[in-house]
Amino acid sequence: MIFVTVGTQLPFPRLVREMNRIAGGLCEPVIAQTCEHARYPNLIVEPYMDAIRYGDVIERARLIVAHAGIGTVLAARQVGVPLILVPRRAELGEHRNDHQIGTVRQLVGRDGIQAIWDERKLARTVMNDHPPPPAIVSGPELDGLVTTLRSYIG
Amino acid sequence: MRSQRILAVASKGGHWRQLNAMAGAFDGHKLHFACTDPELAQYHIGECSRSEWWRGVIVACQVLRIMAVVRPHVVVSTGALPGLVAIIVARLLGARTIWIDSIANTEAMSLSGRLSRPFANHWLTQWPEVSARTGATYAGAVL
Repeated sequence: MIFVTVGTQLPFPRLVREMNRIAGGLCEPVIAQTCEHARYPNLIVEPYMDAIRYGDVIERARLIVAHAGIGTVLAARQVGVPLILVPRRAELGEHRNDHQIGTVRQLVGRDGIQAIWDERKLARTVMNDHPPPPAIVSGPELDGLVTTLRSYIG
Repeated sequence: MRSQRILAVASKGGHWRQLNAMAGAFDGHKLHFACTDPELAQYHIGECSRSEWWRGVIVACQVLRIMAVVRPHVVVSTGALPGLVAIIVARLLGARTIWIDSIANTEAMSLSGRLSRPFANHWLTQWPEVSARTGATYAGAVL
């Protein structure tokens, strides 16, 4: 199963439309959390998901195609599911600024994270093999942050 | 180590996940969570945003009530605007405050983050570049 998710704040029709088109040629189910009530015939649409449902779908997904939201990235990495990130662009009215582009620039190249800058290239990328990355719940960056916070609490 | 009462505040979504990812830092203390999603945490606070900033007044009242119940020594937030409200109220009431700007802000502190500076005892970014540019502390990141 492929999971498409755009977060809880704003719809992202550029991504969902393209995934709807791609899903027409796939024989595996594509579940999409869309943040909008539009119909997409090739997708199993759930506009909003509660946290339990969201975690459940993330865990069972083979591949996640998502906006570059940190909640999605953290959730996917904690269970070791590969991610294709499509950043929202402010010029298209997809977010109030371009911070998702910065997020993708910083995260691309990490294990299990791929970036799509042009949605026309999404189909080919989705068809590729996506070996699951190791599940990551800690690392030197997180350890450093935790140690410092602990010293603040005293 | 003396056990402290800690109130951890975040909006649902990425802010909430980041707060939880770093929650190991608070092991051994009495930890209370507040979130804008009533299903996720023990305490609920409302939403507010730049366009609906006046809702911050409601959030401030909610935070005051939670502060009265929890009486935290430390209040920590990863944002967004409701978290800023919590940091301001907490600091004015004399709690120690920690702001950790979202890792989504790779080039500059968020608006809430910038506004939190005078109210945060500890003011952190999750990117070294932002630290160099703003003077925020960089100690690591959730990713």
